[in-house]
Amino acid sequence: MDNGKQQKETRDHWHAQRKKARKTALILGVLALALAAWSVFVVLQKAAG
Amino acid sequence: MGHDSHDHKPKGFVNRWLMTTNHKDIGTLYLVFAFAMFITGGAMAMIIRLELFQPGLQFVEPDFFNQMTTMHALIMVFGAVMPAFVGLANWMIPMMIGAPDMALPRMNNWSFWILPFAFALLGSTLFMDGGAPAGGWTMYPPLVLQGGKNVAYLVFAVHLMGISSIMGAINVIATIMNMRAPNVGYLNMPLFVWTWLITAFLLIAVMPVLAGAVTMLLTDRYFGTSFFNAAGGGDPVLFQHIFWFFGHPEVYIMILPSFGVVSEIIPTFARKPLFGYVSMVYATAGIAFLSFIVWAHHMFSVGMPLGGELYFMYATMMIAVPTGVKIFNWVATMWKGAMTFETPMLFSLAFVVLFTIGGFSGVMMALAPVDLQYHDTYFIVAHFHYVLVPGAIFAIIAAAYYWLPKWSGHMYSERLGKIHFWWSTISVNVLFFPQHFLGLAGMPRRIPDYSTQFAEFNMMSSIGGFAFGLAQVFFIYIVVKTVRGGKKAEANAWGDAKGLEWTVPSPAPHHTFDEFGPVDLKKMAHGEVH
Ligand code: HEM
Ligand SMILES: [Cu+2]
Repeated sequence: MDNGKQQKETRDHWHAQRKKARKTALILGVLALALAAWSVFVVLQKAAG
Repeated sequence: MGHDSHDHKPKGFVNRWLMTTNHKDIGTLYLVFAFAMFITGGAMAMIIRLELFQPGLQFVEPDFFNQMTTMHALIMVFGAVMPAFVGLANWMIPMMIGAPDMALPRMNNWSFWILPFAFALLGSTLFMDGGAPAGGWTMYPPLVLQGGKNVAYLVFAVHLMGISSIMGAINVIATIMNMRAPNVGYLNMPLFVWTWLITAFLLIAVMPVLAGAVTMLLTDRYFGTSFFNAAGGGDPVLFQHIFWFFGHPEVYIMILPSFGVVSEIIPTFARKPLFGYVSMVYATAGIAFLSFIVWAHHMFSVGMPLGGELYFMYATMMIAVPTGVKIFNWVATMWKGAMTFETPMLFSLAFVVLFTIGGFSGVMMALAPVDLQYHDTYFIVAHFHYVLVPGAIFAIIAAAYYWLPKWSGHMYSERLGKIHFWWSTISVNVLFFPQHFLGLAGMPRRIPDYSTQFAEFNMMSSIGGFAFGLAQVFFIYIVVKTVRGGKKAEANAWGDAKGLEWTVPSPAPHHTFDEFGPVDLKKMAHGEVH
């Protein structure tokens, strides 16, 4: 296989994987925020009840 | 490869370090930062042991003493141990799974550069009116709110540390899930990668809870809320529940990557594959799961209902099962192996033995009725220092010796390494073993003065402390000497160590595994075993 084509394939591959990785990161980030909110919520509930 | 693109390091300090997105350079930054914090926190420990050398008040004011215990713990936990493991993750995970870099390199830069600001914020409290936080690293209200003007600084510093570790953890997960070489499956991954993957999930689950808890401290202190204020209808014990829901997983955040390190090193120097690879993965996951449901073993004396005491007692004792699986697997790995005892192996062996001592005292404290006696005494100080110093810190030191040839391209001096090992191992036991006896005899933790019956063991402990501190200054010398020169390291510095990191040259070029394609599974520690 010629060099240019292989390099392009490599670049495209990691590019696609990084894009997926950003999605993974986004989901985990939202999860983290939800957990922070949840911890405050638990205390509020306890305080109310 | 078209042209010689390999060692293009950016020129100039700002471009190379401040703007870096390279996992190896960011790994180095984390490791250097962690080491600086280790020395800073260590200096505070020296002040503590100096004051405790003899009964009576000699050197510092009681309030300053309390600031030292609090800051020592915060700096060691959040500034030294955790960043050191993130540094190891940055350096090693991409190389171990055949990835060119971390998945999110710019976020990686941000994760690191937040840390100096966090610790500048925290450290600045030492110079303000009323001084640094002095209520213990556990930050229990109301005590923590009754100090000087430091609460907001403490809270924002913890927020920044939390943001940094959450972003670091997200990056680790995103990397492991998306950036493995095409033929590397989950069960081909080295155990260090596995333990970090699980640790990263723990971090994402509990750091936000800590952030929520300290935010409520902030509003209680400055905005008139009463989350934890009994006079306003709040509940101070609730803070303890939330803190330990974070805090117990946190102690496993500091130990699971250590398990990973030791699981890499022991097979190399026993010249056998890791025994029970899959059971190691399950045990790690089991420990992580259990770590979420045992938190109130830190609170046996707050007056929980009997059912709660019993539940947390039995749940805690269960952790010993997966932990035991790991210990037996390491021993079985060595069984009939062709063992040699280079410095990383020595530190790993000391880890196995001394961590287990800490595990034993842990199981003792898990017994609710007897913990009423041990709680808040030096016995618990001895427990967690055994699991954290000859535990987590020894694993970090072992990792440094093991991978230093890969990082620097040079072999350290085996003779100096062995001196460092024996010096550290003897002194760490002189430092912490007597603290068991002090605790059993009733000496409380976090006090600057004590009754004269505790004098001998305290003096012994302080002497061990000074010796251990000095040994780590010697470690700096060894590391600096190795980085600056020494015998050239082979690509496979240990001859026939398994793992993809040993297939690239030493020092590892700035970019590795750039070319996408399958890797040689036979070169991986577990490529053929599952
Ligand atoms: C077999 C495993 C373990 C068991 C059963 C166990 C049990 C316990 C118990 C019951 C306590 C509370 C004692 C008290 O306050 O009266 C405790 C405290 C503590 N443990 Fe462990 N532990 C284990 C392993 C670990 C590990 C692996 C680490 C860290 C790497 C660790 C770090 C700590 C720390 C830091 C504290 C004290 C926290 C504080 O009050 O400041 N433990 N442990
Ligand atoms: Cu615990």
